[in-house]
Amino acid sequence: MIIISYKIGKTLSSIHNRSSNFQLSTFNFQLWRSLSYAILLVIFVAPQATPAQMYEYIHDISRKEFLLDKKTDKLDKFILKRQVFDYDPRLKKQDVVDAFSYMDVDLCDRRKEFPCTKGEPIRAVGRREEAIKTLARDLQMIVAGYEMPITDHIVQPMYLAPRYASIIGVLQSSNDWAMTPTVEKRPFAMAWDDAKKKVKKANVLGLMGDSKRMWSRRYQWGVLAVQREDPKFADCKAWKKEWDKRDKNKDTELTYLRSRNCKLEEKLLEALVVAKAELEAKEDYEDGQVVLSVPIKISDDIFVWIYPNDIGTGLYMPYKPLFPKIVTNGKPILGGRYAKPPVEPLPDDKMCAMPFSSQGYLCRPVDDAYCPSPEKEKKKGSPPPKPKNEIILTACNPDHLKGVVRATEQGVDACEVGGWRTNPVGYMNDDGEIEPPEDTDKHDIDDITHPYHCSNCAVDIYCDGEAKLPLNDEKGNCSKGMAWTFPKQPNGVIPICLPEKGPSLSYLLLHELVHAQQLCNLPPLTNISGNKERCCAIEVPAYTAQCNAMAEDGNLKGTGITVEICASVMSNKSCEKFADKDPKDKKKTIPPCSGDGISKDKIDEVMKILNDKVFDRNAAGRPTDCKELIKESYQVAGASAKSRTASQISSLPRVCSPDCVTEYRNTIGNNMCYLAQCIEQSIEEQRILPGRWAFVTEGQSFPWDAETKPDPLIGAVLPTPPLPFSRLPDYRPQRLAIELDLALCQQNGLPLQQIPIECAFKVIRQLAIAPTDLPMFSSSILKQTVQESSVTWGLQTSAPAIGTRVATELYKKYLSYAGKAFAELINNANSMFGGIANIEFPTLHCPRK
Amino acid sequence: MIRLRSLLAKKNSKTEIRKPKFETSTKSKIRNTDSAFRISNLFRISNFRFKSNVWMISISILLVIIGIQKTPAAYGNAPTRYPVLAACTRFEYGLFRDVDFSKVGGKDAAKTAPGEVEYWRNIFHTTVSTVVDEYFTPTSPECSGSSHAQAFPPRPMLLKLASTLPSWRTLTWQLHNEGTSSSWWDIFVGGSVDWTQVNYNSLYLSELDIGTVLLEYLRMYECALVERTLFLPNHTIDQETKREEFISGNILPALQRMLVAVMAWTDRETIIEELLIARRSINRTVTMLSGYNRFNILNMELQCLQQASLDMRNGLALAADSASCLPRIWNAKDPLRDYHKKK
Repeated sequence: MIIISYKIGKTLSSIHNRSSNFQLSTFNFQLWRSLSYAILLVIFVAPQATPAQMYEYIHDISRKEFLLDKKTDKLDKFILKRQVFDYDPRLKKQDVVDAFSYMDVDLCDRRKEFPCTKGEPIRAVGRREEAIKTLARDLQMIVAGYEMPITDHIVQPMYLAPRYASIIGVLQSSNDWAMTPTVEKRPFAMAWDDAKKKVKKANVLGLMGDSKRMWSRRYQWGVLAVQREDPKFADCKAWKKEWDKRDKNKDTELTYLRSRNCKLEEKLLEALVVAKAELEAKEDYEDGQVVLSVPIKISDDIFVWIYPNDIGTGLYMPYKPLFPKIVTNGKPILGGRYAKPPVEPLPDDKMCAMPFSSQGYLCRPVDDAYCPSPEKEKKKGSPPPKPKNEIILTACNPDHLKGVVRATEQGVDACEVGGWRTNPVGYMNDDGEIEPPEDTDKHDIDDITHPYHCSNCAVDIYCDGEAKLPLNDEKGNCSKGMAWTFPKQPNGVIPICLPEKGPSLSYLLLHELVHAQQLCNLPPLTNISGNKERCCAIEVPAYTAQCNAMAEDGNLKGTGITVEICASVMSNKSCEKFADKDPKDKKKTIPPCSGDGISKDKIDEVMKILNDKVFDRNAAGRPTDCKELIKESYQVAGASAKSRTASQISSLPRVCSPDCVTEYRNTIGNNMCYLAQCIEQSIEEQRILPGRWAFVTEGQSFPWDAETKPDPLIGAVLPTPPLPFSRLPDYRPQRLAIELDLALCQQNGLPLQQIPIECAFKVIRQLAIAPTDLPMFSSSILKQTVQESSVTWGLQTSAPAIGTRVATELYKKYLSYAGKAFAELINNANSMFGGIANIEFPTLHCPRK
Repeated sequence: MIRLRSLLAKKNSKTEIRKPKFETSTKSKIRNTDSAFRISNLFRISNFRFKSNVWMISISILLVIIGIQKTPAAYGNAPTRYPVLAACTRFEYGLFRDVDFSKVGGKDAAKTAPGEVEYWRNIFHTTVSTVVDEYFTPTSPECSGSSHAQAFPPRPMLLKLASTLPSWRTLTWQLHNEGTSSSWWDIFVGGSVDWTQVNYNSLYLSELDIGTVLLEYLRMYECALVERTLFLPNHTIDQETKREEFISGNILPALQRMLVAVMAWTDRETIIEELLIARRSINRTVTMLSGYNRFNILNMELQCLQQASLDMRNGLALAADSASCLPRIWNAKDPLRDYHKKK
């Protein structure tokens, strides 16, 4: 964009620098102005919606481009400055209006001291300024067209990201955060009733004064994001004091990017406080969720948005650019020096702090170092081989953890690990209510004595040093400051020991609770970690949940470590004692859970990063004190789970037993979990063949069990669909660039060449052509730039076409995979519903044999 | 989902196209007829072959009929059916018509009413603006549509505009046969309609075609303007004569004919300005829409997926509710656990 502006500026300067009163370097001026627009454009492009007479605006700017609207487009303030036109007597506004209206006769009639030709130089400056303004308007239009739909806010007519999130919310099960190695934030719908009233009362529109669009854009990434720009002056009043003290000459055309509206900030922050309180009061809100809400409309163009971490403003239709100042401190900015560029935001600030934009190309860290190489294209003649270090859209396939699945004797336990339920857990009192257990930071052997109601186990969490019973060799306490889950005791209680303090204490408990979930339905004192396979099978889910939570809370940010790598490395490290020796190098061992998928050196390297940067981090401010954490981990009756650990404990009881209450959020995934656990519980615990009580002690209850043949219909009723193979196509910016280069070659009439510079138009070729006469020669020299600029223009116009084609290709490829997977899913759902509808329940009991 | 359907549709259309190629060559028709004839002779000789011959004749005739019907599909549109490449003139389609001064609101209004060029300009920009605004008004996609035309049906303003343009007009008239009409009204009153002139393109129009429609409208507008410049003095005099006739019932006085020259000059300025501005405005609009348009398809998919997901969720919730009885259902099979009904 900047390069294009630069080129246009260069062309324009060649046309206009002959104007007599233009004093400073036009070239720099143009470049500099274009640069400013480009910066503003990049910074201020925000998505939006709702129709607002768009075509009228477009028509109007097309007229302005040729000075046909007979208005000065606010350029008179610039043109009237002596530095621009040093006429004597001075120009007046009406002179500029006359010149812009092509009324030169009026101009010289009224101003006898001016010749009638004075209108033309004024128009020349006007045209030049309008050309740049038009460029900015065009670029803004193009960007707005592409970016409007990918907004972070629910604004009509199109909002893809929040809609996508809401679909995830409907589909996802609540324990996907633990099992899926993709950090997808869970959505939560919020109306902000109180905050909305506060915003309405604050008269935000009035506080914006005459610069409504400017302030709307200034706070588009949030008030707190603006405050973070200069941590020394986060407080607006302190900043204002400093701002006023500063030398006025430093006020530049980019002032808009730095100015602040203290009253507006104050009022918006007050509304944010109300919003936070409102959110906290919501019982259904879980930590780590993305709060979705329809922004508060304060005018036809402007809205106020609220997320739990910030509040800001936005424009529904940001197709109008915000122009930089061209007159500051009473002086025109003629160029010649660059304004200080805006402060670069931190990698996770501004746009990258928004819930959906933060997951985009610009903000998401590139994991290419840990990703397996993407699948090769099958078709012949498709794109050139991919160079290294490109941006890859595909998620990493956990090759290094393939085959690590924990299965009980009856098969894989559905939704066993994680937390998808919100029902209270504890013991039933005389009134039939569930009371949470008295789990303190001590070892509560007198209070937690048997499994919870409807459960096969109970957990007793306590802090290090509080153990009352010797448990195995560990004496019941934690070793080396680590958390520990002991085997299920004969009374059905699973003791869990936690260190007293630690920044990542909550993640340790989460890990241990996964082990508790694995142990819960097994007989007491079962050892589930006896060999390499078992160890990996229990540790991988536990570390996946732990790493997922750390990633969701932002603790892995900036480390380049993905959830899979974190889980893989930590589980390999944890099961190291079972590792086989490397036959090639006896001193080394083969990672037990990954085999060749990951090297020992890589494990050590990542462990070092985890130890140095991750384990000491607590980005989400989770409890760091053992006592506090235990308190938070139990569900209060009547309220939904507030923390991950609470929902894990809530998911311990069985779901399908009589008198057991199961509560969960109504999503497709959670319903599937319920269904699956019911089926599993039925098959594992109930008899599906009729039997009888024996009459005598040694009599067989089910004498025909031995005769039972395997059910030939198992698996035929609802064939399990293959794992949906959905692959996002690679995003290859280099390929795009190459295609653009090739287009350049084509436009110059040259064969395709990899190095596009060889295809560029050679300006000296006009010199090589023997001119027939001198005037021809001079005109031929003049035309050199025209020829080049026409090629440049051609390239500019073809670039969006190439981009659109590539994007459509990406979309097509993705849907060809994802569409199939989704179709399978729908088909299966359909046949399942059909099956349920067609079930004929027996009216008679099964006859005795 | 739409993507899948369109892929399937593509597959089907491919097979459809291939068939006629194979079946509709003249030679094959002759061969089919000949063989039918020979087979009918053989019929007299052998009774055994009778049944099979009848089948073969029927199939042959059917193939010939299908072949005839499919010919246009195999060779593309018949030349007389789709005169889509319309002439660059305003007189064939009546899109930019003469101003009817009797309808502008009385004689006084007619005096000050804008001329044709000004009228066209207003109507062009107003129409485009309305269509663009309509496009940005949120709408619900037809998730059960099997093509983009069904999933994104054109909204009223776009459809109305497109139906006035040659490419999407249901009936085109410049090639209609003598004695036939292109008016829908004639269909109802029993007149003769030239069905070969029926243009089905409007059936395939979708909201995504907004750019094409606007560009075609622009082309017609520019054609009208350019054509006006070619005969500007005459047309301006005609226009003012009609105005004068309506206002006073007289012919245009000679002196006023002189003044018309000034009017023509203003019109010329307007035309030049419009030829400069209109295309740039439409290009900008189409550029803006192109990015948005591309996401529109994705948006539709997501909207439909969202709706389908909600249906699935509710269905599964019912299934889960039923599943809570599963253990008891199994128990019911055990005769020794025959719980008594509660009264």
